[in-house]
Amino acid sequence: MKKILMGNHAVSYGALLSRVEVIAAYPITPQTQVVEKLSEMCAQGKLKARYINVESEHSAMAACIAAEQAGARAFTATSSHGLTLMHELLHWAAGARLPIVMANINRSMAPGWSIWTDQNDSLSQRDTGWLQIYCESSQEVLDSIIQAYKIAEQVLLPVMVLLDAFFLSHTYEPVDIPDQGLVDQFLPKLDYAYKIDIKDPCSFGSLLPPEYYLELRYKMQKAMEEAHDVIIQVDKEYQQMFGRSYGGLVEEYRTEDAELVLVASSTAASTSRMVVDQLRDEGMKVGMLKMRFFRPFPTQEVINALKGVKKVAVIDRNISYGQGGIFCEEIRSVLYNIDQHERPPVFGYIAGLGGRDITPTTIREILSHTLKEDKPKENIIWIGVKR
Amino acid sequence: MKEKDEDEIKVVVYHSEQEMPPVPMSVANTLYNKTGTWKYVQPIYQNKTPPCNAGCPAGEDIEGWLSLAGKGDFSEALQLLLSENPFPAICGRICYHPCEKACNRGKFDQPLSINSAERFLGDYGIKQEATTSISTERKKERVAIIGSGPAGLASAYHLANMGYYVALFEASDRLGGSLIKKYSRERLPAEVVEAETERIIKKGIEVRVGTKVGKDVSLESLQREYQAILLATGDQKSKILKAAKGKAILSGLEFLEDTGVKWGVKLEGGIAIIGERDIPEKEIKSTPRIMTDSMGATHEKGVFACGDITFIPRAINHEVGSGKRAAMAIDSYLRGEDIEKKLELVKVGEGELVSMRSYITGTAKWVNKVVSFDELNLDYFEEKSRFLTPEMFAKGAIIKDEIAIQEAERCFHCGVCTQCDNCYIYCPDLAIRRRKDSQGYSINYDYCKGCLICVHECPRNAMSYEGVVK
Repeated sequence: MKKILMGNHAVSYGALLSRVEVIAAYPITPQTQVVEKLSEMCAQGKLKARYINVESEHSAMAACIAAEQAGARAFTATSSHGLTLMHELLHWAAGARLPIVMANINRSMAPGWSIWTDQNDSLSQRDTGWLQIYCESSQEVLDSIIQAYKIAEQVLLPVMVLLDAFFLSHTYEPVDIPDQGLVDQFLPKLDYAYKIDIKDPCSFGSLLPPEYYLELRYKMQKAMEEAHDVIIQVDKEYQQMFGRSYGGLVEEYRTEDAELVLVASSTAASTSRMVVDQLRDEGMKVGMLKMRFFRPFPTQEVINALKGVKKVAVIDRNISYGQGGIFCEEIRSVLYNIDQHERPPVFGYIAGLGGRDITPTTIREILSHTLKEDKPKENIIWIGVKR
Repeated sequence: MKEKDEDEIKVVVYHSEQEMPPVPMSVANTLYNKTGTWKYVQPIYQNKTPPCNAGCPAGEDIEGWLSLAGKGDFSEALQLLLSENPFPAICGRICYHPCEKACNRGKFDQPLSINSAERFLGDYGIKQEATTSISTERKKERVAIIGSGPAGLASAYHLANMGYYVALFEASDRLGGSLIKKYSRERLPAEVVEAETERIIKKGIEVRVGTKVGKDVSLESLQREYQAILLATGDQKSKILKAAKGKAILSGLEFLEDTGVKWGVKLEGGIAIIGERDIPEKEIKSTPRIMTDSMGATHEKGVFACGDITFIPRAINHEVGSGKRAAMAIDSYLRGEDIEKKLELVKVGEGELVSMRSYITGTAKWVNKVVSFDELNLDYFEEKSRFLTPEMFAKGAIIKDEIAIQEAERCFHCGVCTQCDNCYIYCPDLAIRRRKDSQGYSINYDYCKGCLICVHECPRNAMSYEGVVK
């Protein structure tokens, strides 16, 4: 069944179809419609979940942790300062190996106050142990929520599904809503092996001395590595059942003979897709690598897509101050160890911070700059700064 | 301290990450780590004496009966009260209630309205025609009590409760002594005195009114017939001489003279002297008293004294306490036991107050330490002024049960555990457990680190601590 949905409501429908059992959330622009819709679904009895009103995002995640630890499928959604307020508990959720799923609407960090999009809120949570999926469309958002639970519950790590503020969260698109029966088949009821059991009491998250801490962190990293294959497998199964695939961790778009590959994520990938088509029509050998997953980092996929390419341009709607665009830095990092003759120069562009539009013209500007230069002269190439 | 199997120490050692669960969870327990060895102070769970109880010369368990009254169980509250004092309706009217001065709540907002609550319960008892149980064991010994004032009656009451045959000799034609002579009818109506006296007499006490010992019957003959004699004739000389000069009423002093016991003369095993420190010098000669030990035994074997004839302040509560002490002394004497050895057990607080319940049961409800205001955790109490006041009685109001309950609920229960669970909830080491017999809590000192959170969070100092532990 198709519906015209805003991105935020695609999140809500994803949670509904995943039959989440506990929702603990605190409203924040531009996430509000996600939880409004969910509370409505709960009130109407469409979703049999316990909806917990909390006093902060820190508490929202704490409640999700407790619920998941008790064996319930938990969900929350937030944005920007709400996400960063959760930071401590993001570590906890992952360290406790709880398969929580959350949607985060990418919104810039203050000050100055901004309700508009960039990725600095979620990319600052890079090292918490959460998987991150950056979505391009409302359909991908809905599908990714369902996939996220399937992945999380297999690898026992939490997953964050990300969508751009307003460009996706508040944009209405036709979305195919899968059949509940099929989703139930795809995603059976959670059976969490390490849940609280009063018949077999034990404590969770208590003191762990140096002789064992390292081993648990090793296992966390192994779970992240294992997630790679799980993500691909889940995406395949999803395609078989629902007819849609997102390529697993990344999507290569018209890269087969490309001399220049543009790397983009989120809605910028959607715009890039259009520009790539236009330039192909104009006879230029360009392609696009869409970074869907940022964690686990799709190391092998990136190498496969970019090795031997003449030039690479990365668009980052984020910045790690003192270094550069975060996707760009990680891409350069994974290319470092490949053969020198196959290693392309990587141009790092920063654009669209704080919700500045990344239009087809912006992307054309990026591509023509990349074609013009042999090598990047600066670590960061800023797009659109008024100077 | 072992209660369950999971109290057994369990230790798991992993040799590889593959053996470990992915989740940081406990797989063994922490019992191997006896954190109790860290402590240098330790909590003690122990009921202590509430200041009201320590301030009641009659030795009532005031906190105890307030607790029951606060639960609306007036019948049990009355029984507990009557186990120490047979005169709640009388005391509720004429007692100068030092308990209320002692009440810690007085430093917080207003002291508990103990005297009024006692009157409420006493009147409830009269209305319900409440009775108290007596020992099923009938003892062969007989006790003669001379004088039927509050001390003599109180003693008769306790001795009868213990199963003794008691004969009460009263020179006048009415029982009650100072209760009917000393107080106005408005303050202490005759029917209240009659009702509470009647309740005592009904226990099978032989009453010999109009019988003056030393005139109608000799002390020697009583000594032959009774195994113990209790002198409870009161302080008649000073009061009676002032009030009814020249009338042929036998005073305590005259009684002593008639029976050959000389006051002011040093005797082996004890002395009889006159006067007390509270009485001005010039009056000393007119207030004869018998010297007894702390429990009422005179120098003469088998002869005891209580009430105003002994060295006590002349007030109903002291007289009731004195009668009770004499009853214990007589019982111990007749059993051939040394009452002095039981003093620590029966004492309430640090004074002369005694608990009949401790005496009968052989166990004390509290240690003698009295809880001070500073030892309470006031965070757990909210200000509430009195619901029940003496003025309400003066106005003739009918006191609703709810009022009495609300008043009793104001009690802080200083020193007495109410099983509020604070210690149990706050103990970070799970070293405090609820006892299976529901009698409060136990502390597992193997794991108690001596953090004293339980002591701090106990509102009423039932949890206290002791110093350096090795």
